[in-house]
Amino acid sequence: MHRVVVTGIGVVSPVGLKLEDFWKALVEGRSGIGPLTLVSTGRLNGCIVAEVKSFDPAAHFTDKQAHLMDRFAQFAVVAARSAVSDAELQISDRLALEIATVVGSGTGGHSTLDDSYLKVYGQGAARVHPLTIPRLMINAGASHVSMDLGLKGPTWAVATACASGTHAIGQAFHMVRSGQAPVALAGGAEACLTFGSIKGWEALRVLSRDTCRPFSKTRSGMVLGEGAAMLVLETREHALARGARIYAEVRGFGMSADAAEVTAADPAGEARAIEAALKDAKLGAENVDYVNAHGTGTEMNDRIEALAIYNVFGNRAAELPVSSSKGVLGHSLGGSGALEFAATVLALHTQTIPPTANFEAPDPACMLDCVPNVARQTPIGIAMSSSFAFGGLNAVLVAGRA
Amino acid sequence: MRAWEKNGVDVADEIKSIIGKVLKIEPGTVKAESRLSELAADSLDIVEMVYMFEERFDISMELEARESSFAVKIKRGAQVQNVELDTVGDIVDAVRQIVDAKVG
Repeated sequence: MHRVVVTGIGVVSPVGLKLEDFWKALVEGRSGIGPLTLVSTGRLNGCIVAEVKSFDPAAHFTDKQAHLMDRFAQFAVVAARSAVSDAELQISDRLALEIATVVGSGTGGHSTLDDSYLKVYGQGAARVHPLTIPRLMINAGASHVSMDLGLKGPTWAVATACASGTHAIGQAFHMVRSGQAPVALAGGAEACLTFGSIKGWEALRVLSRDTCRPFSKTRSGMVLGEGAAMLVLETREHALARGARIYAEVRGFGMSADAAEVTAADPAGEARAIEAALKDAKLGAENVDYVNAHGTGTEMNDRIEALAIYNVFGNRAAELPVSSSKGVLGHSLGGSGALEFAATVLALHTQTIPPTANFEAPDPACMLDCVPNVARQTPIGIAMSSSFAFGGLNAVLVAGRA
Repeated sequence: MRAWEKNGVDVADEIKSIIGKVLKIEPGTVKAESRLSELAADSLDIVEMVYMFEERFDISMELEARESSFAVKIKRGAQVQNVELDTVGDIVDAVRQIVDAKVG
């Protein structure tokens, strides 16, 4: 068994593509949420989203490269390139054969799907663009990261809705820990702000019309977002041998399924994933200093998540710092777990807990110390990041100070 | 003169422009005698070009992709002929024939 560390992080987020901008916004609780501009809002109710506004494909790709990729795969590739450069990782021909690439996505190429459906159903066209299938496939993110960086090791996509990024990093962590790969590039990517997708979310009646206020009494629902994060994981000895900067150590990963309802969260299922992650890390609940919550800002999620936290942490739950990054980043589905694990790793690295943004008033239904609006500098030895997906699929990562 | 070209549409120019667009090269560098292999067009490029010809000329092309060559099926009355697409000129001829067959 190898110890596994995080040495590089790359993000494409609603608050920037540079890691320092991303972290600064999270620490300041500066929200990336605003009015929808990517698609026409004419027939939409839910027009408040967290868009990646600063993303210009031409700044990253030739026309020919960009043409092959849906926005979600472009996000994955840009985040992966940034992660490798952040890690100062030199990928030799030999290493390229061994690096694992795991990229989560909840929905894959959603704009491609929307455009092709509009053409064939809406406009009665005889045909769609020949790149429709290669652009929309859910593994396009993983495949393009592999092609762009020349990574030839085990490569696949993970689809577990809102937990995809967390499951992807967890699987990559287990591969590196077991010695199946010395290095892995793992994360998640999503670009789901399309007319069809927003309509679908609208129909579930979970979208907020003002902003995302996790754990706040005044919360009014979730805000859809988009983005990607990719992390370089490597064995500690590999990182030390090349003198790499180590952000944090990945300690454990746990998964569970509720086997209950498709959209309703289940405190027992969530608690089992948290306990599985702690067991995998050989740690107890008393060791955890900070939880980066799933915290979507819906009535149901926040209440159930607080229950799950009380189930695991008992009386300590009231004092344990638990913050959600979704007030800043929105909910980028398959991208969110990766972006939030990046935030968790940076919290350990800087010994700073990013706050829950947009918080107004405590809710008796989720009495947590959710670090409202103001970051907190405090010793953090062990931190945890949770993702609880539609379909009842839960994934939790545990990381420790380097 | 063909029906299309009466309207000032030059099929050859249109095709060269589409090929240029798909391969991200200057349409001026696409000549009738240019071979698709010389232009480094891969099978996905060919499929995309054919899609754009179909859209542009409102035709349907039956493409047969092989390992390293491409052909389209062209109907002449009751007969169906396989026409190899090796050069840009071959494409222009094939598209013209299909357009003509359609316009009548």
